[in-house]
Amino acid sequence: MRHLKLLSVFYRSSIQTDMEYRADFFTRIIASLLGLLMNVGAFSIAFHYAGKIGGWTFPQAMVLLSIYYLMDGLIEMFIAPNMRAVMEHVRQGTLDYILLKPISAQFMSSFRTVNIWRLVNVLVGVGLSFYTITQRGLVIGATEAFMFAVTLACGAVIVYSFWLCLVTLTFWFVKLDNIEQIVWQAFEAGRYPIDVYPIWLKNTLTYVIPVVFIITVPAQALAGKLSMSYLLVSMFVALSTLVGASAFWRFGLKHYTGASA
Amino acid sequence: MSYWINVYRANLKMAIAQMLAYRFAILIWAVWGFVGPLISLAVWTAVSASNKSGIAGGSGQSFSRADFAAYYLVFMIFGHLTMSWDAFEFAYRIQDGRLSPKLLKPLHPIHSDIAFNIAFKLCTSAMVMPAWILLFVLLHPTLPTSWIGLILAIPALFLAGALRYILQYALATIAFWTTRVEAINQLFFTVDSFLSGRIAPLSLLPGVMGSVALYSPFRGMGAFPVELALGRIPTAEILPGFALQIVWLSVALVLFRTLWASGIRQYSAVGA
Amino acid sequence: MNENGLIILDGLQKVYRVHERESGATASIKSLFKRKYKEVHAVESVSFTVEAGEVVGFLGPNGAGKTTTLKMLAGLLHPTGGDATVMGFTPWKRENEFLRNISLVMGNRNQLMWDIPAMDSFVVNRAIYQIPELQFKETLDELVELLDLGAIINKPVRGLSLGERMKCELAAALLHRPRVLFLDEPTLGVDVTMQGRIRQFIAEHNRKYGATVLLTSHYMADVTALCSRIIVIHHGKLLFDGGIADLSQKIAPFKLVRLDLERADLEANLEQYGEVTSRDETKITLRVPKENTSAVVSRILTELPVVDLTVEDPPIEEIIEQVFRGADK
Repeated sequence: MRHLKLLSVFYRSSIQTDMEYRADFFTRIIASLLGLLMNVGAFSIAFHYAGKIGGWTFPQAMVLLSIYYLMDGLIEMFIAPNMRAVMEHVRQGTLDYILLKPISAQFMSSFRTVNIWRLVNVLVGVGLSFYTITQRGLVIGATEAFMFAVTLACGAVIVYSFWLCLVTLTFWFVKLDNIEQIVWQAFEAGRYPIDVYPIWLKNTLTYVIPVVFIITVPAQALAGKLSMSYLLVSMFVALSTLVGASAFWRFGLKHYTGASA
Repeated sequence: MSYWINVYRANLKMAIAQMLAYRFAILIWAVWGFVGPLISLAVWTAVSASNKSGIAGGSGQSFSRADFAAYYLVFMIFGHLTMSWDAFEFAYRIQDGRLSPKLLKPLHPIHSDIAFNIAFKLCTSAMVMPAWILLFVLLHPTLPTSWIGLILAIPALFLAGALRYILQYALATIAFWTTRVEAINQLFFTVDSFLSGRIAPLSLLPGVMGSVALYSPFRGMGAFPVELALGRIPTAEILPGFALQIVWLSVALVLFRTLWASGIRQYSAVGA
Repeated sequence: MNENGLIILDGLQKVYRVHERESGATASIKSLFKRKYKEVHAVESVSFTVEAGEVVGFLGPNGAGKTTTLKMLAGLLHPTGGDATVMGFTPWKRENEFLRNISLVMGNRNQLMWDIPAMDSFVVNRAIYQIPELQFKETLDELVELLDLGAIINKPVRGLSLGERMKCELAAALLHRPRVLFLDEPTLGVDVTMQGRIRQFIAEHNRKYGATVLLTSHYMADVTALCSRIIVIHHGKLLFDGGIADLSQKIAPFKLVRLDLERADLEANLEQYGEVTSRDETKITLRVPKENTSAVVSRILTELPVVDLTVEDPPIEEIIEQVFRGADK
């Protein structure tokens, strides 16, 4: 309860700040739509030469793309700005001020800000999936909606956990300032149906950097192609990465304050 | 002349020392060069799987799976050697005030940036070379057949690098007027993705896009040297290809000089 | 050892293991494979006790271990040896109850967010420290008045001057009325007038709320104006702990004799009166042992062509410097 209250204070203060930078909003709209144009164009060209790619039809691939956008928006809104701030704090030495606050350092580091204008990407994602679904005359039932919501949340948790681990590494190696690019490089691959990739890459994207659970699984849930067992696997992966990442963060923090020395 | 050699030698030396200090960080950037081409390759491999006789575009050029592998492997390597990031860097530099001290030096900042660019490519190419070789072995690409093409691809590659660099730097100067360059960069990247041949070989682009692509500057900094190296350009079209690169490079230089001159005026007017 | 102290340090120690690296490309490649480490003893068995309500100055040259000690006391660093308690808590356990009652201000690092007005950061702090609405208002009004913040708390922090920013930092650190306040170089880079304002404010805060203050500073004026007691450390070791007057008594039992002579081309050997610390034409400063002062002065007056003569206590800076020089020997 207390944390919810804090969350609303945090988000309110950062949204107020974002409102000052209204030009960012228009920049985001233009950049998002251009990116969308590029991605839809790339899909169209490839599907011009084949009816199905990696077992997915064009509309299904559009659903996948929409989830990619949705997830990209959620990450840039909630996760990325905070994780970047932590790395900046480590570099500038101001992480100390977070550690001095009488609340959980992980909570404060993870939820201090929200980048509201990235909502544009979320909306683009929602719009694209809505458009695709209505175009195909699909009806999303309650089960699909539920499974989609759960798998999407699990995907966000997995991204967060993965990123938290990378951030924790900066306690040892301060210079890892672009390490987030690893997340994005893997994420980029999730834009296309996972089956187009050679088996080793597919396994990497499933087991090492679980991009599959971040984009493909929610897309399958929305398309009604997901079995209940995958839902449980997704929840299990999310929970275990979260527990693992939090433990690693605490370990890193101990190192940072010299407890291990 | 010896002045310029000294300037570049000193800048290169410093740049290489910095690159080595940040070796892990620059390696991460270098790996980005793998992502785009490999994803495109995966998609086109999947497309070829459903069409065994090869994919043929309007112009009659046909691509088999191995052809795609060759195309995207060379595209990846050439893409790495011609890459430029100044359009992003420049805006940050204006925002956090790092530009002003550079303007105080009796040397245009582009020279130290070029030295940095070269240092990056030297260092990272050495690092990712094993990965390139490994991919070559793993992907069984069609090997280039024409020695002349391969040799001619070298000057074409240099021109492509210069063209991309100058054009991106010209684009970067827009940050003098607005530090919000994200939309502009995204526009450049989007157009570049289609017209340079990153998303698909240019001959596979449908309709009017394919014809535009043949004459756009993006071909000169992307697909042209790649296709030249792979011997995919008919002899009669080689010279026009080079001519196109040179024409666009001249345009880019004029554009850059004009934008820079008025940009600097604008920058100093608002208080650097 | 006083068991009733608010801050108790008992043999506190911090040893860092530092990776040594040389400059240059070859060296950085070499360090990929083989790393050299060395141990840095930042704080070496420091013990002292601070009572509630005291304002203590913590002195030492750069790298003496002041900041490391403060960070251990604030719970940011684990010591490698010894023990410390602050208000009965072990700082590095970082219990919320402990954190709620302390503040650390570092002059070279900002806690306020750069892009937003300080007021917005204050509101966030109110939520984090769970400051009751009424108390928040009251404290804020008071801080605004004392620090003259009215015009600046609603401007984005990035637009403030260094001094204004420091005032806001102080306000942010005091909103929750901490019982213990650690100040690390609070007046760093701030102009003289502003330094005075900040000092005055800290003194005021100490008087009003009985907050215990431990302060490090490069500016001796900060220390002489605020602190009844000083603790000097050097190379991680405690050198002195006591009142300022005691310091000059104990460490520097000297007086400075300043002379203005008629002529500069004096033949006489001035060293026979005392150590010559400066000489500029006719103006000469001598350092004379305290107990000999009157004898030396009367000798000088009879033997030298004196225009003017004054006797003073050495400035605190000089005493401290002497302490460090003595410790280095």
